[in-house]
Amino acid sequence: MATLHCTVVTPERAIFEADADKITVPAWDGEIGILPRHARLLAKLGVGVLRITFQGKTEEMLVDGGFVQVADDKVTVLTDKATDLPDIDVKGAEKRLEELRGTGQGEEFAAAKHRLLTMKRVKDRFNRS
Amino acid sequence: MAQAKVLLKRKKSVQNTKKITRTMEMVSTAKYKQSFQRIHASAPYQEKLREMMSDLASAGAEVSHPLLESRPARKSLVLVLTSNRGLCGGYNTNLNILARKLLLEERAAGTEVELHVVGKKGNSFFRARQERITAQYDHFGDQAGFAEVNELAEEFIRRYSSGEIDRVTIVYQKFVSAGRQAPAAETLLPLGGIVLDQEDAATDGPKAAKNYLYSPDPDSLMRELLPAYFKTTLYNDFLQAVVGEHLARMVAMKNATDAANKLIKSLTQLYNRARQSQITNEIAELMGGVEALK
Repeated sequence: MATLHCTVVTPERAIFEADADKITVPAWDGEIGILPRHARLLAKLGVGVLRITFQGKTEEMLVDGGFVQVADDKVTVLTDKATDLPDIDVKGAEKRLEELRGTGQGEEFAAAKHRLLTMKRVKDRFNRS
Repeated sequence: MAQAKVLLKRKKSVQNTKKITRTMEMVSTAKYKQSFQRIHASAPYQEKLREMMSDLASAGAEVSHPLLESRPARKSLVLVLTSNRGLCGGYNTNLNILARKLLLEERAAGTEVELHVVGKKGNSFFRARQERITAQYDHFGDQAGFAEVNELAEEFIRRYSSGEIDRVTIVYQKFVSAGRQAPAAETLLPLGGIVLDQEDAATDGPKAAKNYLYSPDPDSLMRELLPAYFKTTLYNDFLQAVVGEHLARMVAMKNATDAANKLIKSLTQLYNRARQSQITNEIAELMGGVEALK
């Protein structure tokens, strides 16, 4: 069966590399599922869970912005920050939100709020499972 | 015995110094390797980003962004990357001199200059020369993380986009190869030159036209990619500077160790000679005493 060669890269280093069967990326406007022979794609990422299924296992991590490129069954995820689910820093996001509150930066505030809510949701779901 | 004793003492002291410099040399070698690894590890991200940008450019994405706009510089910002610690030869001095030259040049051209300094060594240099340091960062240490550099980069992007500053120049130790590093002054913002180079490469390449799905549209993607590119460039400069620092210290400490070795050798010779002449003297005295008793 065809596989996708998947790499997750941060500015500091490549943190993940494997031949995957399926990848779900949190694009800026919703999740995108990528299977082998996917069309070439270049998309911006939002905040959310990146899911990589390979060898019957699923690797999950929270990414916060970045880009994904799909070309010739090679998937490259570029992100500033990828966090393992147990290490999600909800407190940090809360603090950031409070900092922005009332600064008149409406757009940034909304983005920070969205980020916090997503992080909370992901973390809660992880804690329950 | 006095002279020989003094020589012996000096030799011991040099030997102790040598132990220290030798250890520092080894520590720097290890740190250099580590920091070099970090440059190496960070390369894929930048390469990928470049690739995406050139793909986008060849797809006809409009390349216009506040970060690319070049304006006549009324106010410019100079960022100097120095180290927190010394004992690394001319590393900091060379960087500071270059930065100072740049400051004077820009002022002569009628530009208002804001000086940002990373590292304690730059701070003391410019303070001694009564330069106004607008911002001082000592927290980067020799392990600059992306998150910290990112904060700085975002601040620059914000101020550049809002027109508060018209140019950002960085002075840092450029890493060319393990044998060659040199202080360099490069314009970070506007991004202009760097990005255009990449486009030329893209149009020449065989993969000039690729059919991509874009989300969002190419123009917006380009607007997102450019700041990311700027951030990695800045991060990369930090990494290069750190490698340069360790290499400079390594060389300085190696020279110090070599000098100590030489000194020890000549001191040993001097000591032996002094000891020998002392023994000769003593024997002569003894013989004189024996002669006198006869």
